[in-house]
Amino acid sequence: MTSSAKREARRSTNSDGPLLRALTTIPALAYLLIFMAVPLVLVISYAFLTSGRFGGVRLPVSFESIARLTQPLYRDVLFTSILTAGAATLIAFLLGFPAALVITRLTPKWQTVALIAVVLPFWTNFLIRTYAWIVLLNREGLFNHALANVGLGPIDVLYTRSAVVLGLSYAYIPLMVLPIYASLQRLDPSILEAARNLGAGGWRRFRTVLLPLTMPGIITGALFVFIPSLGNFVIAELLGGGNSQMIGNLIRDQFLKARDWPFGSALSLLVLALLVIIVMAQARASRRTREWSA
Amino acid sequence: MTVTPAPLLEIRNLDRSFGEVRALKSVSFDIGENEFFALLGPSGCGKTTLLRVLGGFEQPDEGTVMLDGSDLLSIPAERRPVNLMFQSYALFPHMTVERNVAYGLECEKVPKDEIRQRVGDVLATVGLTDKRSALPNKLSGGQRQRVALARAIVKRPRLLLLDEPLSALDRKIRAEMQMELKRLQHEVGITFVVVTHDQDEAMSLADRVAVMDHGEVRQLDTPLNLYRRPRSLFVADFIGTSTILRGRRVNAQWETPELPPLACGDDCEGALAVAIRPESVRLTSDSDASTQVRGIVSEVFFQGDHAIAQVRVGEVAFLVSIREGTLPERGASVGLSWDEGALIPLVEE
Ligand SMILES: Nc1ncnc2c1ncn2[C@@H]1O[C@H](COP(=O)(O)OP(=O)(O)OP(=O)(O)O)[C@@H](O)[C@H]1O
Ligand SMILES: [Mg+2]
Repeated sequence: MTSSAKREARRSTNSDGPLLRALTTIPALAYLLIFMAVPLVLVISYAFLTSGRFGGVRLPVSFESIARLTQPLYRDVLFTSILTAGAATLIAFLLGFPAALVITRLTPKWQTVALIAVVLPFWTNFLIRTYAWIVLLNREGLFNHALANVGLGPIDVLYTRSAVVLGLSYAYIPLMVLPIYASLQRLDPSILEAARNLGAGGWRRFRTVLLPLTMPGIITGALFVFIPSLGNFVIAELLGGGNSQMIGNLIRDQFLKARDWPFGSALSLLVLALLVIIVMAQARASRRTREWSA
Repeated sequence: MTVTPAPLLEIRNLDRSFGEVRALKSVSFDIGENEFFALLGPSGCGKTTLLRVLGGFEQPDEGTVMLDGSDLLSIPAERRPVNLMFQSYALFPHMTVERNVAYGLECEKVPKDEIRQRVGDVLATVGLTDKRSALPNKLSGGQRQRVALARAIVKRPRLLLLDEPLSALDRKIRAEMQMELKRLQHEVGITFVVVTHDQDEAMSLADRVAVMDHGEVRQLDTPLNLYRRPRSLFVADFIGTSTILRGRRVNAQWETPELPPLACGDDCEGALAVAIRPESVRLTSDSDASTQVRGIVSEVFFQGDHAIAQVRVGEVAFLVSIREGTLPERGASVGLSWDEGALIPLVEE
């Protein structure tokens, strides 16, 4: 066989034939088209139309909804939502990082047990778990009982923004723990020992070695917590009472209560734009870490 | 040869077990100031465990270690004047060569100017000045190894521990790095403890070698003495090649199965076996009166400056080193002879 014939043979076995390729890619393309592209196009076009009398949209094209986004009221809701989701992310990190660290120090068998325990809450209903917090946090609940036992309280945590932050970090903390755990697992333990051998105490080892080397996992975890927190409206509604609105509540209300679909779409676009910026920043950061981790 | 003037490090009765495995069994020895010390032994014999105890990453179950006369084991790892070069190098992948080397000095809060000076000097010593801004993953194996070395010596520790520093390198670079290590040790005047399972490396680098097996130090001596006077079958077998004849001394003669009694000295009294090094054995001609046994040449291994012939005498295979003259043919019948002093008594298994 000549070398070009050989190459030809190799190419044909690699390319699997056009039919097979179509069969494998068309479902994925269809999925993306139906569940991503179509809704996105709808949301974008709704934002530039006029609200129908009983919901829905109608012509003419209008920039009114986009313009309303700049009103201080809505800006403030977006801003506090970012703060709330940011606080939830921070708390999830502060609790999740040590948790992941402890898990990596366990024997392999106990690591599996601990990881299952971390994801276990995901297998129970989200609403039920959130209701459980109401029971824990209310005036007669476990939290205030515990405080009373040490001579404090009662504190009204329920129906405040703190309760929302708590609920959000509780709900999404597994998404912080898992990626951090994965990057800690990949870390060669002798690198930390080397730092120690060179004279670095615990805090310096954390700051100069552990933190930078697990940064990809931390950023991933932070996004996994921040993004759903920003859009979440159930927790704000159940634990936050009336005055802790998140942008998610606002969007939902535009569709279901105010029946102003164009403005709801405009708000959604705003959140989407924000997330795109964050994800792009993350992609840049991870490109930098790829440079040394190759 | 003068060794151990005032011991820098005194290791006494170290024990360490991992479950059923006894990684260290009552290990005791001294290491002198400025000594180049090697720990040699087969895989799993406890070399790394011993280094980790010295570095502070492993606490022994029993025993003491004194450095400069004070208790080393009570000092936390990050404050010991002991630096370890890891088997895997363990470079910081997110830092440049320069920052890797500077790390230990930054921990000591050395002034910035001095750090720059010392890092520059050390990088020049190991020949990596032009790689100072590179990340570790852009370096070759040999270069990484030199960064790891630079990072450890820049702190000017009392004791430098090197765990298999050269095992990842190919033969040629390895020989170069051995020379470089030796040169560095003279230049910087630091006490080196090198772990290796390569006997040639230990023998050519070290002032003294501790041969370990199953957590025990089997023998500790200069390379020359280890080679000439191994105490045990294990050491004789592990270091160099030899013909080992089990047996016992009867009437001033060594009695061993399948061979006629061999003349031997008083030092063989009570030995389990004797070893004969290939270079102590001569091939003899038919008429030679000194011939002690006769055998058949079964293999000849050519080694460059010499050759090793394997000569079978019954079930016993003698190794003979041949430096000059013609090499014998396979299958040839030859005589063997040696001096009485060639029999090395081995008193332990
Ligand atoms: N953390 C540990 N847990 C359990 N067993 C261990 C541990 N560390 C070492 N051991 C055991 O102790 C023994 C000595 O190990 P050590 O790493 O000191 O050997 P070594 O001489 O360095 O071997 P090598 O030449 O392969 O590096 C081995 O049997 C090993 O399995
Ligand atoms: Mg080892």
